[in-house]
Amino acid sequence: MASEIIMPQMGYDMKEGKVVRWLKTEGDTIERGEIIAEIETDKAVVEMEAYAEGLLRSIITKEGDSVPVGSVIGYIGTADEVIPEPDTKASSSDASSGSDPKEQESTPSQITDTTTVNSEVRASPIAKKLAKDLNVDLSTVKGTGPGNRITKEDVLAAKGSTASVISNQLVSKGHDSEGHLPVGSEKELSKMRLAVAKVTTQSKQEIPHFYVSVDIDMTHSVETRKQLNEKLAGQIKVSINDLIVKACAQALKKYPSFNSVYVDGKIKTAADINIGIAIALEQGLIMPAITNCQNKSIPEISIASKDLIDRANQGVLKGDEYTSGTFSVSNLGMFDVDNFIAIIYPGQSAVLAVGTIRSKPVVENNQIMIRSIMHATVSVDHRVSDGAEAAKFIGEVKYYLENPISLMLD
Amino acid sequence: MPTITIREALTKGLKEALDKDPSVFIMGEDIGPYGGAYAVTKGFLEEYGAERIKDTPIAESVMVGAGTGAAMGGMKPVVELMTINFGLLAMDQIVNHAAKIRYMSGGQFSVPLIIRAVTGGGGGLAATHSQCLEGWFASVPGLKVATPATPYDALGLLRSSFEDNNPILFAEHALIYGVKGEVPEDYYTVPFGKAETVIEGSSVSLIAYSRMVHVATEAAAELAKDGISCEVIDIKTLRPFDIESVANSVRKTNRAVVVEEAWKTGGFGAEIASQIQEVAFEDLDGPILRICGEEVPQPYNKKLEAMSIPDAAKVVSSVKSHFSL
Repeated sequence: MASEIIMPQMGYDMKEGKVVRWLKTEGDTIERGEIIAEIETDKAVVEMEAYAEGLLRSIITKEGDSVPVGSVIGYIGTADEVIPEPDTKASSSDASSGSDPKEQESTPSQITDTTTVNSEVRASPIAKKLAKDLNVDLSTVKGTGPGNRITKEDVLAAKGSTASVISNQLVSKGHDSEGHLPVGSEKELSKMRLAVAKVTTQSKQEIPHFYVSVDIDMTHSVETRKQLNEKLAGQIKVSINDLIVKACAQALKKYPSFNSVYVDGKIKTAADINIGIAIALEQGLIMPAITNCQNKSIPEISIASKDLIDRANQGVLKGDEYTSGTFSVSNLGMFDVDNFIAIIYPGQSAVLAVGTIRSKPVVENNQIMIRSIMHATVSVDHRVSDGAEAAKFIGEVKYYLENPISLMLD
Repeated sequence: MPTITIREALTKGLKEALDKDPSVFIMGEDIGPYGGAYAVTKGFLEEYGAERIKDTPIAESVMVGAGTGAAMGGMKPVVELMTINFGLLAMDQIVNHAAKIRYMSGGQFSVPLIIRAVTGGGGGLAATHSQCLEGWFASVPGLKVATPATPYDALGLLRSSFEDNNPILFAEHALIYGVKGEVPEDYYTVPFGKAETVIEGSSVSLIAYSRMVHVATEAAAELAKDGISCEVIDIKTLRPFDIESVANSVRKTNRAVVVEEAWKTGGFGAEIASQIQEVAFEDLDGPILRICGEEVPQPYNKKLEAMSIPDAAKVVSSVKSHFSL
């Protein structure tokens, strides 16, 4: 029996498609999986594969014509097969005919989205909800409720049979009877872990992140830090991170977009520059802020930073210290990482992630030199700023860290 | 814990209030020497005297009107309507006056009035004496409507009624005065607007009040024999109505059945069903079933009357066929 070539649904909201070009003509031999036509959707021109093999017996939809999803646009069959009259077939085909089970049996070329819940299917509200949650195709479920309505039990039974098929396939891979990987252990999340889960999920769902990365030559910063610490003679121990925080504070003064937050169509720029520093604790991660960085010298930042870290480890930070940040720095330098990108803390619009400082060969004045290089990536809320400004901002950070003497000027 | 009847529970609650609060008095038809049509106030006249146990003429509008006035004047009256059917004569006093005065006086007056009314059919009292009209009153803001099914709730809700500052319609089903149950000696109350899960189950929620709680309970026992696990919810008060508890049960069982003695059209069961689908539509595994009284004036003929009121057998067969169980 000849196979219908159906206008496929190439996107959940696609209602009709246009045959831009047939790549085969009637009588051509077609392999399964071969590209036979180009289909234009609302969004793009997409190549269409054959889902059957044989001869292209008939082209029903001419190039340039649009037809609804599910319409028969041609037939693939053997040379001597009788092909149905195009007119009746074409006119009776519409989007809803795809849900007719009899039709499906005779249309192996049909493309069906198995996760779609068809509104024509008679199913109870809870059955529809469950089918969606459990990824059960309701058109394959037999309803046992009144009027053959699909009930919750029918969906669960269908899920059970699917699960058994999957489990048979996966049994050698160590999955359990429901197709899940075996659970080694399970534990309740700590409060801090839960908070991290909530905050990061919210951030990734709401904030459109983009990222800009640079290599920063830290040679001078490393040297400056050494000199500073010699000068301070053990009273204060300045860290590289303190210099990074100071550099960010300077850059934020010039580019306040990154010291702001997007709220309901408005950008609210913070009055102070409070830089959150990511502190890893056993129970999770916190981002307490060093406040008023715009007025703090490097030693002052260093003192504030050490104080935050000490009190974070003792668990005695104040509530507003967790929430007052306007920008953040996350530093995994001590863990020997090349680079990473951070998730923006909701309520802020940017975060800088820095890796380990490594000795690397760089070309300077046509000479290969060994320099201390640190990779840095800024994550930015795209509602607040764009790549060009982000590039200037991180360039400013880079400038300060590569010329740390300028960090001493105010 | 002592086991007493609903009648005894109500008697206890009324006596308690009369003993405790001198502003409490009772008026109604035949409540004095006769002791009340359902014997709830038997012996009260001898014990409390005619000042506080007042027999009235057959004039419901006057009874409720006088009660409303007394309540506004600082008393705590209980008006006993021999049946809720006679309450129709007092409809204007209940709906337009008792229920409105606190609101319309800007809170200058309140009406702490308890209207006890006998409701329900099944007693062979024919069409005009056998109706369940409490659902009508439940649609009136300003009123509270209690519909207890057990001695425990009858006493607990009556105590709450005495503690309440609003007019309350306290509907007592005629056929359950003799229902027995345990009632603690210690003082307790049962709050308005809090339903109770009488029987826990997993497959079907049977939602009922007053006598139909017992019908639903009987049906649940029958259905359990066929492996159908029913949860029985007693909503206890129609106004306020505890939709949250009902919805939580439906979220568990996915099937909701309202069992109601009153007529289907515009009955309180319609309100329950409507609120369930508003808040728990996604959790339903089928249409909400209402099993209600037949839409006929209550027949006098005993067999016909029995056929017009839902019983356990009807609940069992309706649940099975409606959900294909």
